[in-house]
Amino acid sequence: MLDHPDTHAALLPDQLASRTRDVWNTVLGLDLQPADAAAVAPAGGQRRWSGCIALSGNWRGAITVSCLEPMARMVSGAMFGIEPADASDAEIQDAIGEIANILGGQTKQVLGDNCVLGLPVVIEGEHFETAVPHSHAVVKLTFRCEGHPVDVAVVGADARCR
Amino acid sequence: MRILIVDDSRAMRMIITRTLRQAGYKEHTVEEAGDGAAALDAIRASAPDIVMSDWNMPVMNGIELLEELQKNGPTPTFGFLTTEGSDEMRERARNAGAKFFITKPFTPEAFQEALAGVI
Repeated sequence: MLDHPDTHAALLPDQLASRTRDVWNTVLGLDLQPADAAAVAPAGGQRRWSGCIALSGNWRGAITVSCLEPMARMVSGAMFGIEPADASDAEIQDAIGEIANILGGQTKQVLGDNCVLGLPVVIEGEHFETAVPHSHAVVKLTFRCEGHPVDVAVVGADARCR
Repeated sequence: MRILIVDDSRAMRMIITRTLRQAGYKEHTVEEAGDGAAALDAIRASAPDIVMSDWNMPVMNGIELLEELQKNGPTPTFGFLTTEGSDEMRERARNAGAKFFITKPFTPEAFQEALAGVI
């Protein structure tokens, strides 16, 4: 168990990558492969979905999972047991939020359990950035699933905010 | 048996229902609630045999629901399905009367192991 991610940054990516792949496989039945961020960088103007959940307490920060619309539809389709094309925005929002929630729980286990998960927030649009004020990047992971990029990022609160 | 699934994600409620079936629990009636407060109303209105609840939910969370049921009843068999599985949370759940504790992501085998002797 890690008391603080910043002092174990070298370990965190591997553990989180493994847990993220496990979540994708167990919950969605989909294979997630590590990818080079530059190789799967999405072109602009595509609808994108991000789920974000905050952790507070002994460690403060947030985890974000992001993907383009086709992947978000596959996530929703797998969770609801429907065709991806039939997923409504409300179902995609629910599914992406729950995936963020599960990844938040996994992150909490890696970082140490003396922290509390918030409730997930889901954002969708074509041109947006997610930012947590007064924080810094701890881990950035990029995967590919069925040819679609999936990004997972963890940010930690800056020292003066802890 | 009547099982009440409590989770603020409709997708997760569907996955739990599906996993129950995959684990072999096909003959039971499944009902749903979207948070602890809605679950409390449902439990007092229809008295399910088993409650499978998320922990982290808006309005009323899972442990608040369990503690309210222990205090003022009724007291169906109660367990958690949650993303958070720390020793501290497990102990708090156990002390409050929870009979099982399943962490997400889960498999049908995890359901069978946790629910053996419960359902």
